[in-house]
Amino acid sequence: MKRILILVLVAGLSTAVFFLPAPDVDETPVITTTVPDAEPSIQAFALCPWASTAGSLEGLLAVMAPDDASATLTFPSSGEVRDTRRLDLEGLAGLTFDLGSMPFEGQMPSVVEFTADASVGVLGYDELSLVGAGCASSVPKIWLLPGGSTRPGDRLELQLFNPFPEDARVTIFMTNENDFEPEPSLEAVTVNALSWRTIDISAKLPLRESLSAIIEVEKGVVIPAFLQIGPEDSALWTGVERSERWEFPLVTTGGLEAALVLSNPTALDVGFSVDRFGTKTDEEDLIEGVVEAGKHVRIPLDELIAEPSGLQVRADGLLGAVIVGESEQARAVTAGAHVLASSWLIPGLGSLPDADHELWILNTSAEQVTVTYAALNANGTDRTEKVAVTAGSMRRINLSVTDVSGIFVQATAPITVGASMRRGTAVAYLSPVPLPEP
Amino acid sequence: MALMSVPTRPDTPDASTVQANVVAALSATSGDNLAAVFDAVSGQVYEPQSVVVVGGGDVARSVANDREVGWASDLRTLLDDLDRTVTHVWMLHDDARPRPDALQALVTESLRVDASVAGSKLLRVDRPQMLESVGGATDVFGMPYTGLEEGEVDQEQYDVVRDVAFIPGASVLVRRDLLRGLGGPDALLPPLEAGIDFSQRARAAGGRVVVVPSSEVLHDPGCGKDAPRWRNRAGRIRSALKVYSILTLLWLIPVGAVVDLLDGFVRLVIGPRSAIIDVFRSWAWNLVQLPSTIAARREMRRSRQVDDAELFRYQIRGSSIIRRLGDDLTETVRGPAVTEGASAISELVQRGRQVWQQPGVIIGAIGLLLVAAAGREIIAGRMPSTGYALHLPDAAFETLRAYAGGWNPADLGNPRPLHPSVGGSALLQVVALGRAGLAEMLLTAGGAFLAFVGTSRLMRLLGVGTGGRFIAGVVAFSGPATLAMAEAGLWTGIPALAALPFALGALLRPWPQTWPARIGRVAADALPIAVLAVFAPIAAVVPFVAATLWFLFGVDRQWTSVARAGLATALALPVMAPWIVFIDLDYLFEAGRGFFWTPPTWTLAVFGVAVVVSVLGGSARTAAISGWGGLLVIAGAAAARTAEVGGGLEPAVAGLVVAAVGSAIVAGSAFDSLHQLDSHGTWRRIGVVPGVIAGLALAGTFIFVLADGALGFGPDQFSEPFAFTTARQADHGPDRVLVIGGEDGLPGDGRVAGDISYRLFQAPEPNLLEARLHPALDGDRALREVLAGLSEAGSLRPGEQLAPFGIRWVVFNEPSSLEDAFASKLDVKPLPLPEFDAVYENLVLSPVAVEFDGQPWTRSGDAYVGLAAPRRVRLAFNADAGWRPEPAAADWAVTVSAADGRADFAPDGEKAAYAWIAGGLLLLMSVLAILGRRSQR
Repeated sequence: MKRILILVLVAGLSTAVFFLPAPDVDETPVITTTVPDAEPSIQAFALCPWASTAGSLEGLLAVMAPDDASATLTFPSSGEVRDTRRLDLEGLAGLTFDLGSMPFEGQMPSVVEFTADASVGVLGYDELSLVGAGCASSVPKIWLLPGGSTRPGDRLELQLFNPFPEDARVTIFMTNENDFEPEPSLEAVTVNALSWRTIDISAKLPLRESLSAIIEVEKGVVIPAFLQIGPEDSALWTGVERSERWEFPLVTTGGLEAALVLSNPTALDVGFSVDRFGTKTDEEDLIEGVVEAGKHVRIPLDELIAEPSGLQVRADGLLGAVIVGESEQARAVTAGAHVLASSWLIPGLGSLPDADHELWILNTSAEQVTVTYAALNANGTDRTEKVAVTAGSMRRINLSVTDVSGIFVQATAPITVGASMRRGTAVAYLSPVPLPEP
Repeated sequence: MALMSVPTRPDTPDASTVQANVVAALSATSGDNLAAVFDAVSGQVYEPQSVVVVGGGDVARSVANDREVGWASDLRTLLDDLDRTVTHVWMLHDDARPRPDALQALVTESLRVDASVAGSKLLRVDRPQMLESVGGATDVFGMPYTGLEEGEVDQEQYDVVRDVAFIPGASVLVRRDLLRGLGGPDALLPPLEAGIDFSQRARAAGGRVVVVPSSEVLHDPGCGKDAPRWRNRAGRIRSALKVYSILTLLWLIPVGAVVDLLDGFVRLVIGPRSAIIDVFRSWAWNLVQLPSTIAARREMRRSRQVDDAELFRYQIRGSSIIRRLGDDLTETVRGPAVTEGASAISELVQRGRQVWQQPGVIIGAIGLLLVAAAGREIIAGRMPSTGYALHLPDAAFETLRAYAGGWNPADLGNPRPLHPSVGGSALLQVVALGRAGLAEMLLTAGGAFLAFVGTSRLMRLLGVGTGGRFIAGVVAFSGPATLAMAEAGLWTGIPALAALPFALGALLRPWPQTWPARIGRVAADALPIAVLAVFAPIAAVVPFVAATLWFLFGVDRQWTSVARAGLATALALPVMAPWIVFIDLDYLFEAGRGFFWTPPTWTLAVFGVAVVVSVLGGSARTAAISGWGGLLVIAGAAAARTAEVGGGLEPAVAGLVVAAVGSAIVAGSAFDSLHQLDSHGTWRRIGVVPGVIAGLALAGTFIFVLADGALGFGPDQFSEPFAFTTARQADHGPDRVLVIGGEDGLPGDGRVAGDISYRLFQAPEPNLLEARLHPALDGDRALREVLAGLSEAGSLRPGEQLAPFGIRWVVFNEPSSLEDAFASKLDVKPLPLPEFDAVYENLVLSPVAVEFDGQPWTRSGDAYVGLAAPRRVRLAFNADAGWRPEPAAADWAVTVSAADGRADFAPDGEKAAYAWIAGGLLLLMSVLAILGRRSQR
């Protein structure tokens, strides 16, 4: 009887213990207290792969913000931070930072950290040359740099900037008009932490009419930029991400011969079509074609476009796209916009008093939009203008501004914006920065 | 074959009464000795029917022809040719010289006692007054034990016909039919082992094996000594493989192998050193001979009449190998130069021999070997730092100061008391002369051995036999619950596991008669409970619960045991001060990492079989013991499966400890059923077999512990992998490490921020003081908010945000959503360390103690030092007024004056007093227990 009693007890209790609830596998337990909902601090940054005060070249960083913000400029070099500067902007304002004020000269790629939404652009100029470019605010693993050339008289440099304290490694795939360029020295290129590396593409792949780069970041972070150095003027443009849609409010100015360059980094052919939007007329499917896998196409636009126009590129795959403008003296390149936004900042536009400044608005929507633009300096808005841009058209606006740090553009509906500067025979295309939709 | 008929002499005394027809089979090694043995045989007063020379080749055959006696190439041939009228065969070595009445005595006595095998008393042929053999016992492994002293003189002190386990083959009278059935001695074995083997088989075939001392045979003591030593060992293994049942072999083979290895390894020190080679050769030889062994085993099965228990009856307990090893060890320790005080040493030697002859000592020696093998990495190196098994700090007295009201350094620090296991470990470290590694080894490997010994002793007190005690000991330190405990890094369970069996065993001992002895007994009862309370606080109540269960369901029940358990527990609990005084019950039951014990399904099945079979099929005592163990396992399992209902670490540790001891009790009692087979009927005997196997199987997890080499703790997680912090430390010394990732990969307790588990510790590695966390204070909450912020919004400078907490390294032990907050940032740098998922080094200066102008202070013991100056120093600790000098809160941290050039924490007097009381109580219990034991004597 006692044996049975023991067995019944053991069996009963075992069953009860067996069915004790097990914890969820993913549960994270322990000493738990509620984490207060922290107010998310808006974090933004811009990584500027190229800026310089070498020789007679003057360099500027133009910083703009739609609201109170601080910007911390960090200048890394050779594995350490050389210097740090802080700029404070009150309200909607812009500042221009003269790189010549730094206690060193030469190349000075930089990291700009913001405490709120802001944007930054780089300008460089001397007597004959004018370059402008935006800075990266994202760090994709694949960068595209279409639009280079090593034709006689031109030099092409690839700037690779590693802004972080970790060595980075990239592999660069170069393509010419027809095929892939096998170049072993461009494989597994190491870019040291907090440093940059300049690769003379002209020396490696000379006499190529058209060259595009696909840069795969294997480790760390690298921001690439091309510097196309012509006989007089130069062009600077930062790597672009991939998108199925691109808009180019600015195609050409200052008599430059324009070309659209599309680069396909994928393993599949990508079909595309280009629509033209003039000031009064538009034309669908101006160009249609295919970019073969891993290659690029360069489409001269001079014979196709008679009047000032904007372009919209639609593709059935991911492409990178830039507009290249060149004349005997001048060089200018700009990436298209792959997002539409109602608000734009154009750092640097208007910052050179002896230059001509142009604002380009492209409205591909079916509605007319009203565009308000304002020149910004350290004190805020200097002057505000309004224009209407009809549905499916582009509009060029000549700006007569002085002593400003950039232009703020706001529209009643999403648009894309372009900007250009001309100084003598030199031309620079700038990179407007869209602001997040409220 | 020609047989020589030797006529029976008409004047032979009692010849007419003898009913045996004997053939003398002289086994010849050569022809040299045959003449003498012929003479001896022909001089027998009881004449054999015929004499045949067996073996020896052509020389022997020639001699046989000369003497006109028969010759057979081997015994099998002889047996085939023997006339049916022959009743017995007298097997005689050619180096044997039987006295004239030797055969008569053999025949007469074997018929009188109805023995199937009868052996003569062997005297040395060179010194006929000296005994060579009067038969003897063997141990279960077949190792002979004659009981004779070296050079013992024959004073007829053994002259009585008696049953023996074996008789040497020099002069043996065997029934012809039995000899034929058994096929004679095994020709592959050396003479002595052949004799043992034959005797065992004869007994298994139902024959009686006796020695007849009145049959005296002079014999060459060098017989068989020319065979290599390993052949003797190999012969014993072969004999065991042939004769024992599968059930016996299941435990005999592994235990025999362990004993052989122990012998071999110890003899590497005391000699002969080739013994270890002999061990491997003997086992290898048996592997080669396995087919013939299996064939012989099959043949044996045909003639088998009795089971192994009949063989065990004539065997000595324990292992003769261990006993001899003990003798040799004792001799080695004594040394060869014994001049003065020889008698005292001789007494010591004798006592040493007696000690080695105790089964408990033998079990303990084997247990020690098993624990040493299973914990070899801990013994050779250091305890792996994993889970809660964190290394002891080097400075034992600083640890004791921290325990006695000092600063608790876990995470960002707090003034709350440390877990009592910290104090207990530090005390042991002091005893170990401050050596942290030695203290860890004592707590883990030593604890495992004590668990083995304590459980084995508990089973002895419960009346369980040697085998059951051994199995229980093995299950205690390597069973499923213990393995689960070790794998989770719950190291405090090991010393608790060592204490619990002693605590239970103490309560089973009788209540003394005198008051001084009673006081000592209560102290002795309380002492192991106190140790239990220190390492597994909740388990302190287990002895009382267990005593109550035993009172309800056990045998030989005494209510006084329950009362004593209650009293002892009440006395033991205060040793947990000051910890137990300053925590609340919620913390006791809910704090720490929740654990949910999920034993492998096969262990559940095996446990079920062991309980059911031993409760239903075992004796009343076995049933009670097994049921008691089963209830303990269930109680322990319940506590170890409370994670989902809010249970924390302490219930899990206590539960696993109880389950480990309970399962050891179940396994031991189930296995002990093997020794009760005699008293059972057939069906019950068959029914007991699964229980015995289940008991063995529960010990099977020892294999996993053995393979691990660190008692199941697994690889080191927090010591070696974090050595990089020493190499990369700043000038002011190592700062803190933030570990993020899976809870199981965190050192000790973890904290949670959103869906992230994390833990902070002081580099270079987390130590035992940091294992347990108290509820978060302001600094802990601030860190949590920073991590939550980084997770949600990110920052380009996470290092800047972590530097105020003294964090220099962020280590991800598994992929985490927070990793993005550190990848590609401006002020943290990734380190290529493959041991981890990712490691980032903070580039912002992050000292724990730093002056406001950025000048760091360095750590010195439990204080921080720097240049004395009229400034303030910020300490990245939770603000507390106990810091000195001139403490002030700075946000969540604390600042002190730098005027003294030193900052430290002033111990809390109240907590220190409690710690002293606890230590004093422990000391008092120890003294009273010792005095009480003396009083009992």
